[in-house]
Amino acid sequence: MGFVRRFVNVFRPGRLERDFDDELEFHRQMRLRQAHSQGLDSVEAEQATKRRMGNQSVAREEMRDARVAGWLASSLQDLRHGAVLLRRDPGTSALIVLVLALGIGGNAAIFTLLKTAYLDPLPYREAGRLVTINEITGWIPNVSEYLEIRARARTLEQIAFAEHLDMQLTGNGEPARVFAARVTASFFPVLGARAALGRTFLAEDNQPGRSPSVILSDAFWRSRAGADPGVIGRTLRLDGQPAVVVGVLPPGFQFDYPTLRIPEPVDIYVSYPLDRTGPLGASSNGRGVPVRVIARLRAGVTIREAQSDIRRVARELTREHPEAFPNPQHDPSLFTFVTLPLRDAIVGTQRSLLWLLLAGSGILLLIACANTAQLLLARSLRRAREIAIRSALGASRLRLIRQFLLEGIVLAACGGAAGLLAARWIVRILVALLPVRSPLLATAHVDARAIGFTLAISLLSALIFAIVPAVKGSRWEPGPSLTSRIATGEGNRWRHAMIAIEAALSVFLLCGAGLVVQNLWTLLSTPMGFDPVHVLAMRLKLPARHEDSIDRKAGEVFQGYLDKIAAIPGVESAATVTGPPLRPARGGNAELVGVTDQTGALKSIISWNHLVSADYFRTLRIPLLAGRTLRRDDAGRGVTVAVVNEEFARRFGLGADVVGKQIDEGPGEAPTTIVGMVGNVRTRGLDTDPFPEVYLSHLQLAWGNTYLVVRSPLPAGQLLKQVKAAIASANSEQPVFGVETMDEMISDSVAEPRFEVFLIGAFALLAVAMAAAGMYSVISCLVSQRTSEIAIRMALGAGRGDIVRTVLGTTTAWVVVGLAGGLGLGLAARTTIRSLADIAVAGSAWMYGTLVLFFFVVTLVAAYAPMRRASRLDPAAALRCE
Amino acid sequence: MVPSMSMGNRKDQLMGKLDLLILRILSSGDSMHGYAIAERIEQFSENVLQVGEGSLYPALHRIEEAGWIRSSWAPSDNNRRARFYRITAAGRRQLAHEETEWLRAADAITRVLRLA
Repeated sequence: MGFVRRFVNVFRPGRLERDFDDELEFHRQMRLRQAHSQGLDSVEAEQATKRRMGNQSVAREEMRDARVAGWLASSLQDLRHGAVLLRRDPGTSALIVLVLALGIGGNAAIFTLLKTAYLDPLPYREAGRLVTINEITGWIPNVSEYLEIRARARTLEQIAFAEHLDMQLTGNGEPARVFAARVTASFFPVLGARAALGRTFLAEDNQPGRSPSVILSDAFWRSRAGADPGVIGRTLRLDGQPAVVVGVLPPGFQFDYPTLRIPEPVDIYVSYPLDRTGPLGASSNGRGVPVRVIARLRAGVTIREAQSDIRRVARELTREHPEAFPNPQHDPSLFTFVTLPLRDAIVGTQRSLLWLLLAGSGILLLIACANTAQLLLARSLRRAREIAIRSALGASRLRLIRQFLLEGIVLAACGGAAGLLAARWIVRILVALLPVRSPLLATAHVDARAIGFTLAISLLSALIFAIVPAVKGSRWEPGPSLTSRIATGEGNRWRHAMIAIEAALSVFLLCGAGLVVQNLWTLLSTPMGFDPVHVLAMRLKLPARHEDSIDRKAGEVFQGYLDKIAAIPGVESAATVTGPPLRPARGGNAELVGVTDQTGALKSIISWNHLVSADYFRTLRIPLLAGRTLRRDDAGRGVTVAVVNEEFARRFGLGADVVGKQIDEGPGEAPTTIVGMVGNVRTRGLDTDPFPEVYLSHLQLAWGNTYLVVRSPLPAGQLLKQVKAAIASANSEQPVFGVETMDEMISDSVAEPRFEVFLIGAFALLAVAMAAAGMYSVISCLVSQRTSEIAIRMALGAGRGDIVRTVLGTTTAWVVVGLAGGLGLGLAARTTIRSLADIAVAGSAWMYGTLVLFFFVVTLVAAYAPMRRASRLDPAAALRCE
Repeated sequence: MVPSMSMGNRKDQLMGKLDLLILRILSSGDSMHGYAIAERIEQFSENVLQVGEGSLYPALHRIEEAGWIRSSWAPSDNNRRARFYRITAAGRRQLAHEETEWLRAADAITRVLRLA
């Protein structure tokens, strides 16, 4: 209590002084009255009183001391003094504040992102109890498995699934493609979402045989339904089927995390008819409908308990259904369910990105602190006179140290405030640049916790950068500081140490940057197996009417488009493919007739299956290695034909002789004949090994969903217009979407490594720039300190080389020490960086050599100007100045 | 903090116990202003102890900060605004404590003086 009042009194000295005056004046008046009553006249009374009371200012001072927190008042004084000094040297101060703002702002921004990822509540009711359930192999359970989990799990309060798919919306106006999620009625209750209009799904909406119900997202309702409240009860045509709108979701609801493999915002939710229950275990061979299973744990159940409960379900399934889950040993690495907290699943791989960012920005802040310390140290040495005078006048060493620290805090506070402003922008820029859209991180905002963090790191960095200048600068010797020139050499060891630290940290960052750059380089220079230049890709989904009516003839409809497109002048070739490179494809097991493994059973591998048109290999320039490619006349053949890739053959221990072999299609089905072998394509991404692939003719089998690829040297925009016109002339109801050039697809596929290169590269370059600035300032300082020494040496006949060696010798040694340290750190942390950034390449000696060279060049550039000054020194002039 | 504060007043040698005297005067329960307290001390000590303002007021403020007395502004009998001090419960406890300490010390000193 008393302390608080004393603290408050610091800030209202005027009122306090008035009180003291009043009290003392009252006392004086009483004395006067007494003197009068003793019979003295006014003048005598006045004098007597004065004699009695003496010097009142001393009393007032002591009263003030009693009433005011003394250390605080003098701190305020120091603070004011500090602020004045900082203003007197605005250039340096501004530079320091800028550097600190960058460092602190970067850290505050990354903290804000981490806070959003791990601390802020997810926008769902009691989100801590939400989990996702996957299969250990990375597959997603299918509907049958979902139903088994629902029936058997004991730790789940509620469980729901969602299946995401493109749907076609017809009815009023142009046919539109919508991104839909088919969900169970439990989906919204699990997430704790309610409808803003109408209702969410009821259990009977999932009854098989009923026409589906639809719930619109807020965005869809506003953009496509004109925010019309009367939309409830209206019938839409989805994929040609009637569907009734039963509700509209509130604006805040979204569940479309790309990390959960939901690529884009969901337009509409459709009730799932629970009759398509494929066979158990079908998801593991890719033929089932994959669903995303989310569940709410019962209150009080830990994630560990839930995990063992769900594992038990998986064990029961393998025991009871050995035909669906061939896993007699219950080996959990072959089949089990993995229960993951929803938050972890959503943050996903962005976790490592965030930690990389934090590490980078943390190192950057340390370098910024080292640089600030350099500048303050240089200034504290310039202020030796001031310090000496203050010491001589009785300032204690502690008080001087406090003065320096307070100046540091003023700087850090300015830097922190600017950093906080910058943080809001940095957060937005980072989220916009993120390689994968992140609805979670997009909600990141600077709040009280972020402000608290910023305050804390500002104070911490003030302590880090002000402590050395404070301790060094407050030391003084009475004689030389006051009488003669400033003592030279003082603090140089500290400066060199700081240069070494800066060099080490920036080289460390450079090592990280080198790794990610080399990684990106390796990815981009790996042969892709096809030629992406001048290829435009887009998606086609056959209008539902056609899909229903012509069933297996989808390929013929597409072939009609292809013929029109091929007729466009300037188009070299065009083709359809269900799974072009770098895009998802359907997978499945493949066996060759007559090819067995050691146990005598048919050897089975997993391969990707694509339906392609005849010109696909020509369009992407995938080389034919054996046999023939697909032909249009395959359509009329009795046998299904296929082209496989080289990897497919290799997995069966075959080469070109794979041509002529037959793919087993199971009992009662005619086998598929392999007619050709083509080169491998990096289907799944640039960082994956080739995968077995089977290409089938879209004229023999049909899927209504495909990609169109067109090779033409025409500009993409012009080409697209002509392609759209050609398609419309064949079928006016055919929408085209997802248009991209193949180059863009490739660049998308390396978005994450590129983002890492961009960020870590930026960090490293900033760090090197700061280290260079630090070296420049130290070397400049050394040169000016040693001007007279250099002049004398020159006068005595030293050459320029000698001078450079003299001045740079120590500095170079320290820089080399720092460089070696940083390189050592970088090599030591290589495994960590590689696992965090998910990098396959090991840094090559060539890469490390390059970055050491780079750092040396930067050092030379930093040293050039001051060294030039030193070597051009005119000894006579320099010595006269002394 | 600054050593030359007593202004050479010899009677300030006793002022180390000024806190005790102030508390004792205020222990009657009346609220008094500084002048009255000084007067009362002089009166009771038969003018042996003269309290200077330079000591009295800092002492009053210090004691108030310690929480032993409390002050408020009020008009005095000559209609001027004056600061009146009143003892607190903590002050009474402190007084009792200091009083015993002082009496014991004084007793001890007296004995030594008698014997010597």
